[in-house]
Amino acid sequence: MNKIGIVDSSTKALSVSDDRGTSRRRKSSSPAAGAAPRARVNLWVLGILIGVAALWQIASSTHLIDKKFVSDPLSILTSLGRIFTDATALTAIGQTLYAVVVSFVLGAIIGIVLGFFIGLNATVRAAYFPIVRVLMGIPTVVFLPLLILAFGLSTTAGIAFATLVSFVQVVVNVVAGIDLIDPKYYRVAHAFNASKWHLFFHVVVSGAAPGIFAGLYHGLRNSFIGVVIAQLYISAAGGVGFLVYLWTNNFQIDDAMALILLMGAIVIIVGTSWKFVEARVTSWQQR
Amino acid sequence: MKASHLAKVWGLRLLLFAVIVIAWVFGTNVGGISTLILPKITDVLRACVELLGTADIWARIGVTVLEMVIAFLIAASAGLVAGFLLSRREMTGRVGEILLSWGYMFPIVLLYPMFLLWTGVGIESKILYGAVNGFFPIAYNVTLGLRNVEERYLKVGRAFRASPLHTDMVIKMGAARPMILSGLRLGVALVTISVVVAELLGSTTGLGNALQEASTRFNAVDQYALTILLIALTAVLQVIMERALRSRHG
Amino acid sequence: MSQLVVEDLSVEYTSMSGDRFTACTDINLTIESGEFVTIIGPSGCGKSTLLHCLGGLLQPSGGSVKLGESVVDSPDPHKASFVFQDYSLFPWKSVVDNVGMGLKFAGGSKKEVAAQAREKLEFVGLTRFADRYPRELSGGMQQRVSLARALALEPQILLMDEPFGALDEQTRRALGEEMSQILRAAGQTVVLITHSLDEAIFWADRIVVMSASPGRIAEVIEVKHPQPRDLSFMATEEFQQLRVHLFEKVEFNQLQRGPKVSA
Repeated sequence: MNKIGIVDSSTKALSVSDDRGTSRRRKSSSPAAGAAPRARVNLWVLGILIGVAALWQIASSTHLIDKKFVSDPLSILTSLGRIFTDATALTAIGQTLYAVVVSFVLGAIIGIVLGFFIGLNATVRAAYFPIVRVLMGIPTVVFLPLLILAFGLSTTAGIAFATLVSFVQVVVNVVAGIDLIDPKYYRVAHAFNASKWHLFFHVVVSGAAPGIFAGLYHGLRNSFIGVVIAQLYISAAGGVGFLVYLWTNNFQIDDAMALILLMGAIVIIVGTSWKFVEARVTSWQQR
Repeated sequence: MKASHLAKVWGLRLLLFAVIVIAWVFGTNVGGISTLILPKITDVLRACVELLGTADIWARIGVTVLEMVIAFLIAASAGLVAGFLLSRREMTGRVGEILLSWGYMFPIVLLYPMFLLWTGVGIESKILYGAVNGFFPIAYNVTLGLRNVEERYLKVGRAFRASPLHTDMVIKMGAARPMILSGLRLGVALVTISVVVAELLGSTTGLGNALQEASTRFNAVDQYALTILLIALTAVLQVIMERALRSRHG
Repeated sequence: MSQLVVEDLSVEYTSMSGDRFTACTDINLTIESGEFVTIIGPSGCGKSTLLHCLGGLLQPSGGSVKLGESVVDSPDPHKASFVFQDYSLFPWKSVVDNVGMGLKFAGGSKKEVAAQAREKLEFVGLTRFADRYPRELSGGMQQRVSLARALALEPQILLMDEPFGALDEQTRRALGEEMSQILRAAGQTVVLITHSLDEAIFWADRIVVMSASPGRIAEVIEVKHPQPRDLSFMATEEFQQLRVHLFEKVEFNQLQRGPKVSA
C-alpha cells in the first residue's frame, strides 16, 4: 500500500487528488523518529510472525486450544511438505493459477480499453463512470449464480465471474489515473504541437501509469479472489477453493490450513513485490 | 455543466439502458435464449414485486441487514482502536502498517469454510467473516492517517501548549479525519459485499441464502429477482453510509 | 511586560552524519515592552531558529532567553505567541474555532473561548467569516485569522515568522500597513522575521540585521520615523536611504563574518 492509504480506486481518486492540492511534505508525527531503519522494522515483523507461531504451537501442545479445529504450526508444516508431492493438490493449484491468469488477462484488456475510452472523453466519462463506480460497490458475487445459469457449473463460469470482478477494478483505476494527469502537461503538449498519438503515449499513458499499475494490481487480486469464490461455490470447478472446502469439511484441518497459508503467502509476496516494482517504475511522480 | 452537456450525459445513459433492455427482450422473445437462462424481463419484475409482498423476504432482509450492521460495528470499533493504539509509536506504527496491509491482501475467503466449522452456519459466521474483512482496511487507514499528520499542525499544538489529550483528540484526529472516513467508507463496502458472499457460500437464512436456494432449485426468475433485490439492498445501505461518513471540510 | 533578554545564545545541530552545524551564535539582544523589532538576513543566518528560541519552541545549545526573571525553555503562549508563515490553520475547524484554539488548549470553557475568539476576530476585522472554513478564505485573510489566534491569549510578545511570505506584493503591503497600525494601537510588543527589506524597515523601531554562516547579529539599526506609519513613509528619503543600506548589508553578502554586536 502506498502512503495514500488503502484504496479501492473509488477512494483512491479522492484521497490522491486531495494530496495533489497541498504540496506540503507530509512528515511523520514524531519528527526525530523518521530515522528508524527499514531493517529494524522488518526484523520486528519477522519477530512477531515467529512469536505468534510459537504461541500458537504452545497453546495447541498444552491443549489450551483444540488442535482438531485450528491445527498447529508443526502439523501445518508437515502438511505443506505433503502438498508439494500430492498430485491432487498440485493439479488444483495449477487449475487455480490457470483460471487466475486467464481472467486477469481478459479483465486487464477489457478494463484498460474501457478505462481509456471512458477516461478520455468527458461526456462519456460523466455518463458511464458513476455506473462503473456503483458496480464496484455492489456485491458482484450475486452475478455468480446468473453466470452459472449461462455457463453451467464449470470452470468457465468461474473465469467469467473472475473476469467481471477484475475488469471493474481495472476500469476505475485507469480512469482515476487519467484524471490525475496534471492538466498542465496537456497544455505543454499542445503548446509544442504534439500529434494525437504523441499526446496519447507520452502524456496520457505515462501520466496514467500509477493508475494503470494500481488497476492491474487490484485486478489481479480480485481475479484470484473471484476464482476462489467460484471454486468454493462450484465444486465442479475444482481448484484450491474446492480443496480447502473439501479438506475443511473432512476435518483435514492441517492440510486445509497449509494450503490456505501457502496461498496467502503467495498473494502477499506477489502483492508486496508489485508495490515495490510500481514504486520504482513510477518514482518520477512527485507524491 | 451546460444543459446540452447534461442532456448528452443522460442521453448516453439512456442509450446503455435501452440497449440492455432491448437485448434482454430480444434475447428472450425472438433470440431464442431459453427462459431457463434468461427469463422474460416482465416475469422478473413481477417476481420482484411479489417477493417484496411476502413477509419471508422482509425477515430475510432483516437478517442480512443485521449481519452487515453488527459486522461493520465490530470492524469499525476494532479498527479505530487498533489504529489509534498502533499510531502512537513509530515502531508499532510501521510494523502495524505492514501487517495490516498483509491482512488486507490475504484471501480471507479461503478461511470461510473454517469459520463455518468454528461457528456454525448461523449468522455468527457471516458476522465474523464480514468483520474480519472490514477490520483490516479500516485499521490500516486509521494508523496511516494518525501517523502522517502534517508536522506544521503539530507545531501549532506545541506552540500553543496543547496537552497530549488535546493533541490526540483535536489535532491528530482532526487532521486524520479524511483518511479515517475513507477507510470507514471502504469498510462499509467490504462488509456488505463480504456478508453477501458468506451467505451465498453457506447459510440457512438471509437474503443471500434465498438467492442460493433459488439457484439450487434452478428457479431462474426468482434468481434474477433476488439478484436485483440484493443489489438494491447493498446500494441503499452504502448510500446511507456514504452520506453519514462524508468528509465535510478537507 | 518585562524585558526579553537574550544572552550569549547559540544553537548547534548535529546532523545524521555527525557533522556539527551552528545555526547561530553570540546572539545578545534585549527587547523592550511595546517595541517593534524586525529581523532580517540572508538565508541560513538562523533568524527562524532564533525566533523559535525566543518563544521556547527550541532550546538553545548555549546561552539563555529570559522573560523578566524566568527562563524561557518551553512554549507558553501567554508569554510569547507565534504566527507562522504558512498560517497552519486547522482546515477541519471553522475560523472562529481556529482563533480559539490556544484558549481551548489552555483550558477555557466553551463559552469563554467562543466569546474571546469572536472578540479577537473583530479586532482583525473578520467577524463576518467566523463560521466559514479556512479554505474559503484568501491567503491574506487566513493570515489575519492566524494573527487573531496568536493574540487571543494576550501574549506579552508576538513572534511572527515571515508572516507575509506566502502573499503577493500588493496584499502584503496593504495587510502590512493595516496590521502594523492595529498592533501599534494595542501597544503590542512584536518580533517579526522577514525577507523583505521594505517590511523590515516599515514595521520596525529597530532592525536586527543578521549575517550567515554562522548566524550572528551584524548590525542593529534604529528607525526613528514616528509611529504609527502609513505607506507614505515608503516614499521618504529616510526610507530610501535605509533601504539602500540594508540592501548592501543583506543582499550583497558583505558580511561573511560580522563583528560581534550587542543590541
